[in-house]
Amino acid sequence: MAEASYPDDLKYHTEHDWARIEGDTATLGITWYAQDQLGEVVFFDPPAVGTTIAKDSPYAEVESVKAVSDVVAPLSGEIVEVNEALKDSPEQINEDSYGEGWLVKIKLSDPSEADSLLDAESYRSSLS
Amino acid sequence: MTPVGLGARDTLRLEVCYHLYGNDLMESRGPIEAGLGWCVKEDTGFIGAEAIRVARDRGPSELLVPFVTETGIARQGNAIHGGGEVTSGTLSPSLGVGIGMGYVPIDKSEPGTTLEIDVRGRSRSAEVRDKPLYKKEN
Repeated sequence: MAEASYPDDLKYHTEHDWARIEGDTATLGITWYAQDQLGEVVFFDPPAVGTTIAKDSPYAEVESVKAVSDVVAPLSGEIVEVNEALKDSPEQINEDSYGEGWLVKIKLSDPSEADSLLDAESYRSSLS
Repeated sequence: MTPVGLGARDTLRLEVCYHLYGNDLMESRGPIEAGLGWCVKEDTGFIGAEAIRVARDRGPSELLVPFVTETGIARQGNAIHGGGEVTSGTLSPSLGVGIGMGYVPIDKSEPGTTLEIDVRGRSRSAEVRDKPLYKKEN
């Protein structure tokens, strides 16, 4: 994805993650900025379904040729689905970071945590 | 022109199993265990020749070997279960899998041997291979 983009319907964490909140579940991924900084993602090892993740703590790793980076949870909850397709095509994280490049879906343990996340405009201005 | 960086160069040299000083070679490892005995002529009497003669006669207890990981990428410093450690690791663009080199006990150095590598707390399987890991077809 050549052009930077930060969709308005998502919530953002300062550690460069996004959350698409739908009721008491959320889909999580990394932002355009994060994938751009990483370079080509060559490996993503999703955590197991059923794992509990905690807001602001690492829950997975994305790996580029040169480096391994932690992915920080923007919200707390239990993982209910992982993007299995990334095992074979981790480059989707670069090419479609808000779509096919989603990482996990979680059931939120505390939906009010979303109040502390940034909207697209605040996140965008935090990058400059 | 295309920009090329250290990451690209590292994948190329690891695919053909060229050593990198500071990774695969270091003061605490000798040329015999690094598989570089063919570069060293003890008869010329250089400083350290006697130590290498002894190492060559006894045979090394560990040997630097190339490997391919089943999933993921093992990195420098990752411990190998049963002894030894990874000294280089990356993703091979040519092979599409994680590759690397590391020192392993001599009884695990044969091509085809399965290694278990501790990659940040997760055990990953790897297989010892022959050098080079990749050869361009003409």
